[in-house]
Amino acid sequence: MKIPAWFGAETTPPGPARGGGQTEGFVEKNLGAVTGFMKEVLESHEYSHRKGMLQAIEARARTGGIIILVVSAAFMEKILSLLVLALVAAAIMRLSQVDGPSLLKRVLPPALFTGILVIPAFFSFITPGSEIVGFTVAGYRIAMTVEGVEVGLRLLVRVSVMVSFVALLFLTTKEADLFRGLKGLSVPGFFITALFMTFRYILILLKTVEDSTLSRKSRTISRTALKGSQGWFAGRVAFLLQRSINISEEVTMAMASRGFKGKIKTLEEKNLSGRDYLWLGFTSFLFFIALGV
Amino acid sequence: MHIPDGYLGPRTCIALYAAMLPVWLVSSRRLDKALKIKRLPLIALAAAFTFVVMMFNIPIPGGSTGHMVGGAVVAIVVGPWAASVALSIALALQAMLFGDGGITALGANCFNMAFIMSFSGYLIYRLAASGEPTPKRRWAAMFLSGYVAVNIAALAAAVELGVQPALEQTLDGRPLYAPYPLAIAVPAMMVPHLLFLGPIEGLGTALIVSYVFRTNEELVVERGRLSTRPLWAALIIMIILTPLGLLAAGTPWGEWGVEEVKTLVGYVPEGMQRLAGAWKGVMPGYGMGGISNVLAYILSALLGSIAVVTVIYLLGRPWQRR
Repeated sequence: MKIPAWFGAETTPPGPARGGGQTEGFVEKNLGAVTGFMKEVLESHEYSHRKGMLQAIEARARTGGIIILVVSAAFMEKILSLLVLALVAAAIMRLSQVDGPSLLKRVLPPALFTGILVIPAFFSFITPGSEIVGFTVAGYRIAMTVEGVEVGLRLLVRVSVMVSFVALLFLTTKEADLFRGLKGLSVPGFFITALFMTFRYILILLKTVEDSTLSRKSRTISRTALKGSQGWFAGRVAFLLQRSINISEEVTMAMASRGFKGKIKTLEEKNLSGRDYLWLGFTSFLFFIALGV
Repeated sequence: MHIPDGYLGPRTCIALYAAMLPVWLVSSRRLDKALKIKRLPLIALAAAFTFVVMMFNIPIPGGSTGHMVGGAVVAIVVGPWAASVALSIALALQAMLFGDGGITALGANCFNMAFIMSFSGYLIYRLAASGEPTPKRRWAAMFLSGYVAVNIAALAAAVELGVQPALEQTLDGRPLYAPYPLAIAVPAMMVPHLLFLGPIEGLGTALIVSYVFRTNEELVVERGRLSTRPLWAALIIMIILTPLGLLAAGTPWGEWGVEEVKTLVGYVPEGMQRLAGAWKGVMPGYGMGGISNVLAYILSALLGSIAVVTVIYLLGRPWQRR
């Protein structure tokens, strides 16, 4: 499915709910979060239909292989080894027809967060070691150390590589295939069914949130008092909770009347092909290499 | 509070997956017993609700907004076992589909937010709102439940991150994963939670649950009947986990003997010298003659827990009669 061009275009918010130069209000932020989520879901649908390397691998093998790669990155100790794994991620991205910006959009937030978080670790007061550059303040020496940079960079590269693999899995896999893949990895049926249902319900509840937030936005002509905003928030979320419980009771009755026993039946699993075994062999090989590097 | 991939070492990840396994098993068995077909949509919708609530921005003073986890809300309304499963599912979806929280750290995130937060939130609410609470006390109980639960969960996450430098090191002793020790990780995590995120969680919990209470009282009262079973389960798990302390090398900070103090600061303060060894305890050093350290440690924990439960029971009797 292709994302329509108008969906990605920046638009100015209608109505005077947000004045020029004012910061985003909580209504706009909520709307932004909902549309951002929908966009991400649609984007993954687009990539999962492309003809690429990961898309050609059977869902179980694809999920299993990516998990092996994530675990391999967790075991690696040397920055150089992690950078090699980053190259593997880049190669998989290219071969799977995933665009760099789409992957970066998912990798950058945790990478940036980690980047900021590790800055103090570069310095001698956290990681003592051989000085690269330093200065003295009130008799106290503050210096960037080789060991500190190594510790910080290792964490930064590791987090980026691991997040990249997870993002590649999400971008190239329809959620139904992903859950089917988990089923193949012996995750209990109860959880798989609940995951299936949860994903569907999230979309329903988000639509409810979007509708109520839009209606609020369209009726807002000036800033409202904090108490009023909090009351609105409480009312919406409590309504959401109430609606969730009502839907659950209706769904239960609908399921029971149709003879549903609590287990979702999926299309017959395909047998793994040579390509799938090759992929699993490759990822396992990297895992065993990771144990020593 | 969602710990991403790469921050926790493999040993911690495996240990926390292992810690969550019995919770998932017991929860799904309990839900199986309570007619799975009936509970399944409720669990899925509670998970979807948690997922959506984590995206919601709450207006807070100063024109800013904040996010909440929602663990205490779900636990109060659907009970702690169902909430544990629902939050685990929401966290799994966030990790798998949106990279929010890691796949390797999923066990840890579920342990902190699905298990600790649900159970502590639920128990705090039931205890603080026990009896016939006035609307004000009920509101305070809801706030307290959200505030304390999110802080306990944050403390657990901080400890998991803070022990990494000691647990996972390179050959030359440098941290392989999260680089900050407990002395930095705990305040860095707790100060924003105690001052900012905790009040948001407390306020959000109180606003939502009190609204639910006003519109559908039965939902909170009937589903939230107090059971002491989760408390007993948590107590037993804590007793089993007690010997973990034996893995730590060295003396805990501030628990030095006079010899260690002398080595650390060069002398022993006079008052400390005078009082040192005045009271050796019933079981000095958690030891018991002729029994292995681990067994003695477990027995000490068991005896300590029995003592605490007895004291609480005895103190609670007059209070219950009132």
